[in-house]
Amino acid sequence: MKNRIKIERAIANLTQGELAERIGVSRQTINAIEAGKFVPSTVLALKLSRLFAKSVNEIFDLEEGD
Amino acid sequence: MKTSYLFPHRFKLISGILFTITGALLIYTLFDSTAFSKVELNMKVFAIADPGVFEPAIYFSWVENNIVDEIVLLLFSVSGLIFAFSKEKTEDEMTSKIRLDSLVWATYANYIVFMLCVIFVFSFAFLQALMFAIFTHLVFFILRYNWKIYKFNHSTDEE
Repeated sequence: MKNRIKIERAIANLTQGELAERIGVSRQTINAIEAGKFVPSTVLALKLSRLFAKSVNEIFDLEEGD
Repeated sequence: MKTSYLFPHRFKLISGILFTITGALLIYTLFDSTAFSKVELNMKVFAIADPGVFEPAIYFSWVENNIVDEIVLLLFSVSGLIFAFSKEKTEDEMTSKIRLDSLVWATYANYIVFMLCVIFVFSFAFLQALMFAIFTHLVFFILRYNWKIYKFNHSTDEE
């Protein structure tokens, strides 16, 4: 699964640590999600969606093979 | 993240220390089988089964027993469980995933070692291996989980 979190984070001018704190995870978890090593749960996806004020579909996208 | 089955993070250090000490004691008894009888703490205890080697078997009655080994084994188990299943400083879905992965990995590792023991270890040594197999599951989990958490916490920042 691809995601645009890094881009959205840059637009919102947040560091990984700041974003992590806002949605209640560790900085390393944000790092893992951005690197595509970890697929977050629906709850986390919705929290990101609310924070960036964008729909989940705009932040996450399926890849070939998903 | 809310999880009801994990212990608070503050228990991790103390249980880790206790687990290491009792674990070291258990390993020591491997080399010195009389180690537990060096400290006498005899008490009347209720035995569901006490087959005895030279005495007749006793079931469901009170017997005299040195409870040092029982205490060490219980402390080892309890501290091991608490150390293994206490929360991380920042508990989130990633730590849950690492925990689950490690539990599966530890179960496989333990059974592989157990099957090797079935094939290559016999008589009394096998009984000893059986006893250790019960604890190695937790030990494998703790090693694998903490290694992965350590690596995760030190994962590089791109900023």
